[in-house]
Order: sequence, then C-alpha cells, then structure tokens
Amino acid sequence: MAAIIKVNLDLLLLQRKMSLTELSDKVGITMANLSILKRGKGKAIRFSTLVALCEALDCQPGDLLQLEEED
Amino acid sequence: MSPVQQNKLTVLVKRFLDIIRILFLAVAVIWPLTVLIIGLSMPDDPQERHADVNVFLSFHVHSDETANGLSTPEDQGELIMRGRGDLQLNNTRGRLSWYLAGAISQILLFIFLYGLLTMRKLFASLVEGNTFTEENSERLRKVGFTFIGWHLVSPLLQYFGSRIMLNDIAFNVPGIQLFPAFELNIGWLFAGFAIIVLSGILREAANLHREQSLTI
Repeated sequence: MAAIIKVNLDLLLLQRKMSLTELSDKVGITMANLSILKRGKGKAIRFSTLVALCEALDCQPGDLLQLEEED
Repeated sequence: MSPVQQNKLTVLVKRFLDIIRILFLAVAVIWPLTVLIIGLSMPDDPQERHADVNVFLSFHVHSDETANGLSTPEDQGELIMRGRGDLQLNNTRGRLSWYLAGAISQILLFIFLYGLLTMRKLFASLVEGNTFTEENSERLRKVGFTFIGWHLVSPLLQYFGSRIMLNDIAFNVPGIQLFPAFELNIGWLFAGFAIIVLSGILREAANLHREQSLTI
C-alpha cells in the first residue's frame, strides 16, 4: 500500500469560512490550479505556493499537507 | 535561433509539407491508373514500344563487341567498365516488367506517403504550439520506423524485382551484361534509428512537461 500526500484545502477553507474564489484572489493562483490541488491531482507544490497559501489561510504547512495511506 | 524565427521555420516546413502531401496524394491515385492504361495500350511489337522501365541494376561493359548480353563473362573479352545505377530499359518481351516496375514504385510511394502524412501531422501539432506531447513523440517514432522501413524495403524490392525483370527483358546488346544490384544505405538506416532515439527523448520531455503543468 503506497502513501500519498493529501492537501487539506477543503477543510481549511471550511474552517476559515473562505471560498475558493476568495483564496484565488488572495494568493494569486488561478482557480484551475487551486482546483487541481483541492482534488489531489497535483504532482508537486512549490515552496512559494505553500508560503502564499499558509499566509492566506493563517496556518502551518503541516495543517495543509497530510500523509495518508492510499486505498 | 530565436523562438520567433523557429516558429516561422516550423510554419514554412508545415506549408511545404501541405503542398507535397497534395502532390503525392494525387500521384498515388493517378500513377496506378497511368501504369494500367499504358500497359493495356502497349503495342505487341517490342520495337514499337516507347515505355521505358526504370530498374536499379549493375552493368559490365566488355571489350568483345561481338559477344552478346546473354553470354558468360568469359566469352566477352576484357572488362572495360562496371557500374550500377537506375537504368532506363525498353524492348521488353512481355508486359510483366512494366507492371512490376509500376507496382514497386507504388509500394514505395505508399510507404513514403505514410511517413509524409505522419510528418505533416507532427508539424501541424508544432505549429499549434503543442511541442512536448505523447502524440508528437509517437509520430516522430513512426517517422523513424518509416524511414528505416523505406530504406530496407526499397533495396529488397528493387533487387528481387530486377531479377524478375531481367528474365523478362529481352536485353541483347553486344559486350554489355546486366545484373540485379543490391544497395543498402547504412547511413540512412542509422538516421532512422537516430530519429527513433530522439522520439524517446521527446517522450521523456513530454512526461516532464506534464509533471511541470501539474506543479502548482
């Protein structure tokens, strides 16, 4: 069984009561790219993107990323 | 070379391939009909025929002009000249040589057309800005295999075709002997393998490009 990195964007957006559009405006990342991250389809994430997301969502990288066993 | 110049060159090559494609597609349709019509309308008397047959052959020219082309080399005196090339021959006994030469040309034309159409698709994709794609890699690989295929099939067809044609042609010129010739061009085969290797590099580039597009 392989492990994968899950991006907890859904949960954080819910907790911050923020929409994907608002986040997109704040961090300057397109909706399409945020959607790729949210759906776990992304292959990698840049440090600059991680910093921007953490600042916008007021969280730590560890809150955003989670190691999970794949089904 | 700047990207703009590179793009202009790509567009230019694509337009050239567009024209060549139309030209060769027309030839692929017209040529077999022409071969058939000329073949059917050929006079029975070989002396009245004016339809040359192109055959890739080796030739020997001997000093003894009294000997004829069907004699053994020993009967024909000293060897003055030898060579090989695409020879135009006439004076055939039957019509077999004419149809066979036409069929060989048609087979080679189809292989060439397949490569040409694949190459055109590749350049059309490049013009649209799709450089690093799996499809382009596959197209380049097909071009490489077509290249190799053409340079393997062509000498084989010409060799075995010329053997049959030599039996069919009533060639009887004193002092001149004709033989089937086989010429495999290793350089072109190597070029074909190099294209296949490049297609593998393009596939790797396409993988990297896809991963890059999914890096947020």
